[in-house]
Amino acid sequence: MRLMILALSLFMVACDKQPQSQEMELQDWLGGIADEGFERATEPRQFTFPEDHNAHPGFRNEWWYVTGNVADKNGYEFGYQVTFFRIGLSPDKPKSDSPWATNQLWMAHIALSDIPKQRHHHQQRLVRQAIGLAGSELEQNFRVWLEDWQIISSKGADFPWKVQIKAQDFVLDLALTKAKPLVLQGQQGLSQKGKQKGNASYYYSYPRMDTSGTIKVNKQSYSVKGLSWFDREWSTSALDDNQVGWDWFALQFDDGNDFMYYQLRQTTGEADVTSSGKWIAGDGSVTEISKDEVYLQPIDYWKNEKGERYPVVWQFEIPTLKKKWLVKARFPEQMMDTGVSYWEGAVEVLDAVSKQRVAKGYLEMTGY
Amino acid sequence: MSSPIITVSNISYSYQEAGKEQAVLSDVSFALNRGECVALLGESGSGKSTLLNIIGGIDQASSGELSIQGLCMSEMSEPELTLFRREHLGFIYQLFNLIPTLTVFENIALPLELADVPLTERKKHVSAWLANVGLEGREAAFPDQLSGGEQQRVAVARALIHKPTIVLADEPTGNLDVATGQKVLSLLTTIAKSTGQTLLIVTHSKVVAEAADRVLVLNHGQISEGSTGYAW
Amino acid sequence: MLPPMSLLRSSIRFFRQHPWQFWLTLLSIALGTAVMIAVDLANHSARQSFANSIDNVSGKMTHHIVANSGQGVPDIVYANLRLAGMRQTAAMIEGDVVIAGEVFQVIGIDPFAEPLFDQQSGVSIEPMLMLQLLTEPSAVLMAERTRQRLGFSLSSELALSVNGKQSSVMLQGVFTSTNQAVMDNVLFTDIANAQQLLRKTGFLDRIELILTEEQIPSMAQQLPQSVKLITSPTKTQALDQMTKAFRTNLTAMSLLAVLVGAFLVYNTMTFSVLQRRKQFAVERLIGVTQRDLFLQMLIEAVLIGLVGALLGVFLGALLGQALLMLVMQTIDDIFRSTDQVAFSINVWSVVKGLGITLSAVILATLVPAWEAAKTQPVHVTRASMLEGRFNQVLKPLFFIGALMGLFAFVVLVVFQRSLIGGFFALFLMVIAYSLWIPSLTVAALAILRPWWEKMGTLPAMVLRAVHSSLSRMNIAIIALAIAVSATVGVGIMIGSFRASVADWLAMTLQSDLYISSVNDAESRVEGKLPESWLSKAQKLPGVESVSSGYSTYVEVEQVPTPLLVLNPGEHGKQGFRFLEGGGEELWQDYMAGEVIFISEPLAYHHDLNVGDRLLTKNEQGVSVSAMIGGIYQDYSATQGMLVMAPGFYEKHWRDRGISSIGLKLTASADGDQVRQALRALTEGASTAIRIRSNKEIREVSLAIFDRTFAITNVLRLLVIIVAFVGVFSALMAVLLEKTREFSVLRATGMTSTQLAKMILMQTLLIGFLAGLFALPLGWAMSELLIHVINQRSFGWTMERVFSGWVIFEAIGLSMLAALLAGIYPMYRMKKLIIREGLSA
Repeated sequence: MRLMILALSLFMVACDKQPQSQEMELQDWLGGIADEGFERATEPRQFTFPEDHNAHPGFRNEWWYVTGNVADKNGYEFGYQVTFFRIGLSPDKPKSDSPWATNQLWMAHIALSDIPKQRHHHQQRLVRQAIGLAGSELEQNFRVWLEDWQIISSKGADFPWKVQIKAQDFVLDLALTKAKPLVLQGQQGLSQKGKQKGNASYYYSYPRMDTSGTIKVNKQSYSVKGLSWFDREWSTSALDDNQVGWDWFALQFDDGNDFMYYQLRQTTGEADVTSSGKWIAGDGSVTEISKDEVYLQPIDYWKNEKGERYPVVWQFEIPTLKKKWLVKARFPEQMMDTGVSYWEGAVEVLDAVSKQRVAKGYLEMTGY
Repeated sequence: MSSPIITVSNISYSYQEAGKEQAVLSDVSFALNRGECVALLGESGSGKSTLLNIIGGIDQASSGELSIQGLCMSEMSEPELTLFRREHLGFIYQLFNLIPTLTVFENIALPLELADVPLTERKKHVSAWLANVGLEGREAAFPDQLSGGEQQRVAVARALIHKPTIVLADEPTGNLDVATGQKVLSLLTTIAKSTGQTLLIVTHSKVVAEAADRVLVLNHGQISEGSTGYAW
Repeated sequence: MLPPMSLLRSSIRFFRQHPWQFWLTLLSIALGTAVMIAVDLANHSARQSFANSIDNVSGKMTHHIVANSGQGVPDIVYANLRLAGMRQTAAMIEGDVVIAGEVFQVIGIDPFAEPLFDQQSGVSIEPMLMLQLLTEPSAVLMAERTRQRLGFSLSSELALSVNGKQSSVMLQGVFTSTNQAVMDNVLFTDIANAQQLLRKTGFLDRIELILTEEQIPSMAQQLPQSVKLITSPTKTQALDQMTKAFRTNLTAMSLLAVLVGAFLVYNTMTFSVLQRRKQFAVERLIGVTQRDLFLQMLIEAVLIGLVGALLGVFLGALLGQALLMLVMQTIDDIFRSTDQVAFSINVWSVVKGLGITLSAVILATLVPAWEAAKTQPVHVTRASMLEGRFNQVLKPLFFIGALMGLFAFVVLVVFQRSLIGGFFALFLMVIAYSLWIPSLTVAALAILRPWWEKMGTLPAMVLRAVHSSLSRMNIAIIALAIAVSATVGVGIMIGSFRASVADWLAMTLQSDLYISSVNDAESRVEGKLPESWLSKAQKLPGVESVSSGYSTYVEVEQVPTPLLVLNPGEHGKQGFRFLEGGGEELWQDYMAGEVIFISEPLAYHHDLNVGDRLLTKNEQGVSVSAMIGGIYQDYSATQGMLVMAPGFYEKHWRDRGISSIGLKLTASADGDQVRQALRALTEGASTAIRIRSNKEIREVSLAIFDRTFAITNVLRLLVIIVAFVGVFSALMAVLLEKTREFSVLRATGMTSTQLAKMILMQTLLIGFLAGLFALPLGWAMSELLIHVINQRSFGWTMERVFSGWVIFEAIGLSMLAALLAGIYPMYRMKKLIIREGLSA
């Protein structure tokens, strides 16, 4: 899902002076030519674990995506996001004797939403996969890293997985243990994103991971507990021409259910047919939710400095499940100003009738 | 009487002011004879000084002829005029106009020095003139150490020492008290008479006019012959 | 508070009626300010540009990690730092290649690594190109300007040679830079490509990093033995050292220009008071207070000063650009490819310039303003009385001058080591001397008079005219004398400096041939040479003896200081001239590692003497104490340097190596043959090797020296121009005042040529006097510059070299300036209209 972010962020690395013209150039470059020679997600595959936690360098893009809501014992709440992207710049490694030579570039986006203070801290990092500076590995343990930022498992690929980030403004040191089994998204893990064959990704999630650890921010240290969501996706796909962006919801309910839904928005403003989701019950059973079963409507907006309007309150109904919610941003300003800007932040879900909070989660919105 | 030494014929002088032609002198003609002492009278702004400047070669008439000793001045170039002044003219001014950085001796000797007269000769002449103007022993003094009368006496000596054809005096007593003025004037006329010097004195003073041989009156740019008994 | 408006209006009318005076005052203020600001701006821009360009490439790094020996710093050292979270690190790999006969500097970059590019301005590379740097193995980028200059087309293959070996790269694209000139002849490529191209696979030249004081010990501990941590010997520092010499001297000269300007202001204001005495008297009569008059004068001065200074800012900006080119030419000799540098207006320079000018104007006006305020209601017109009063102040002025001179001496003695003290004393001295000039003028005129007046009354008039208008003429003489003395003083200083340097070069370059690696010559850290060359070189026919040196940096009191680890061989010992002592015994102690030597500037800056112990640190941060055995003369490093024997160095440091070899040839040896043999010997070295004769080094050094000081000639000229304006305005003022007198002379029969000759004679007399008076001041200034300013700035001592020509030059220059200043007044007087002059 984060392809466009990826492309635009890359462009922003060096130059934010004349974005318009170069934006096109880079998108063309990434979207068109470069998928030649890469593998594509054309049909369901046989997943094997823990091997599939590791990188798939035959595909162009890949990511490890952790979002979560945690709080300390006094109820001080945080949302956090840790994403490691792998970008294949070319299918093959350039011929060179130098250990610096590589075709793999890594990017990390990390963020911390300090909910009581309504402060959103975030940072981007880019590192080449060379001389051990960044990469993924599955040896003694499973690990993805960019320099001193990493997600590292216990022995083998055992839980807990540690998320260790020392950012400029904050420090995350969290331990994640799965509370529900792994879920293959889409059709047995093949998630179709466009009409074209191969415009799809392999996608799986750990929808509910018990999380505990320490967060340091503003010179204070918080001992926190909560829930995280882990997404894994790899592909060589791009948005279709008529798709402008998407809205992605990952919600964890107090009653033990979890829900993921994404809609791809078309130029017409309607949701694409490929929009879909999964309802994961407390017992781990999964129900496919299609676009037609969902009524999703923005009801309040927040405008950022650039004048972009992001829906920060959504009405969300699933009549087949008799669900009717308001999905509300914990606070409006949770922009990721990492090159291209997108909105990604902590949300809460209120029952539409009782107005009681029933879930927390994460929302990602692009293309506004 | 001998032939005229200065002939002024039909001299006119005008200048432009605010786009209008202002006539200062119109069609002035007269002649001066050698050894004559002539007073030029006239009210302020009547053109006396302009006439004097033209005769002195430091201004040019708009039209007309001026000849001194038969030399036609309107034909002369600036350098020729300068040499002419050096040889033929002596000036006496109302404000004395001595060179403050020169001594009495040097001031008096100046016309001779400009004419490259050797020092020994100069010394001789200057001592004679110091005696003539009654300033013996003051030759080393500077002008600012002299009284007004004394300064004008130096000026008289300076104007006459090189035996010019004509001495032009512009209000020579104008800046002196009456008694001193009288003394300087009589000194001037006496010396002029004794050396046969031609003298043209521009003046307001009745006394000066009376001392002159002849009086010319300038009135609104027109000249007329007056008498020494000009009525004030 | 303010004086009545009508007074201010009368001020305006006064200057309107005396436009000459007004414009010349304005011009002299403007010029003085312009020179000062221009020098400041040029200096500032030059430094700024360099600071920028260096930051572009390496950031504001405090330390370097470099290899102790071998090929370089292993990649893993960098990776480990990054993995430990040290993000303020930059991997550096660079080298020289030759493309189309031009030397290019290849800089290997990791385009995505902070803090190299994404936080820096300056160089910007299109994102697509950054990606292509990684994916295209031989992609290089060059500045668009360079590409156009050489006519390369994009995506074309460039043949190049690296250490004599042929290779090729692909010109993938161009980058833009805010500092094109510095980036001329730079190739950016991916660090992988750089390693491949320069045959340094797996190694970096160095890692640059920012460390805090607390981080240093642990960092030094955790590094592997093969590398060491050194304080960053930045190019900025090197630039500072190399150019400080002439920046200091430039600043001194620009301040002199202001001083000269201030005298001119004093002149004008005094003159304007004299001219308005009558008016002031009348004003006092009708009740204008002393305070009103005083303020009126001050307001006039401040307004004129402000307008002039603003004009000066404008002029200074223009002039500064011209000066900058000269400055950059100098720097060009030290650093490559810097033919164009962004000129920037530094606000602080401008504010400083305005401030100094206005203060000078106000100070210069205090006396005339006081004069004006003292005006009595009954006025006296006689000029001679005014001049008489001037004669009365001669003695007090002389006395005050003597006191100031004494004060200058006290300042020098009390503030023994202060540079500012030195400058202050210099200016005190100049002012003190200028207060003596009136008395000197009177004396000189008295001496000249009997002889002079024999020439006749007219020459006598000239001499007396100078004497009688002393109060005005003297300022012109003072201004000109200061200007000329500045050129004399600086001229003697530079001449002495050059002679000392030439002498020192001849003495210090004892070897006939020198071998060094061209790496990093600008930061004095030379590349290493194989030690095997030493014995091989020794065996070459024609080689009498061999010396070797290793240049590096150590910290002395936190200042990175060049260190030469020297094995002097048989001949190298003669290359040292010790301030005291010396001899074979000292060298024995040196070779035994009992003593080290330090250069004179180091001794000066750190107040060290023979027998003291010098403290430094090795790469582990362990203190090393060394006995100072000798202090030697050296002009190469302004911050000073130290020399120690290899035995001593290797006992305390882990680092080994040699970076230069000196060869003394036998009397019969053919230099060219030896050179050729050396070429063969050094063939195939991993770095570019430079073989130079002592003669070449000497010539290059002196050429750099000469170009460095070329700019002072321009400045000397500028100071003279300011003085020229002064002479010009003084002449104009005096001549205009004498119009009536001249008219009388002309009426009496003086020709216009005679008059012009008189004026000519007067200007020459002024010029002669000024030139004459400039000599002692110039000599004294050179003494101060050599023995105080330069010593305090750099710790250098030099022999004063004085040529008799200076006397002729000074007087000639002075008379020429006066003569030129006299041309227009002469012309004016030639065109004098007698009639108008008489009625004036």
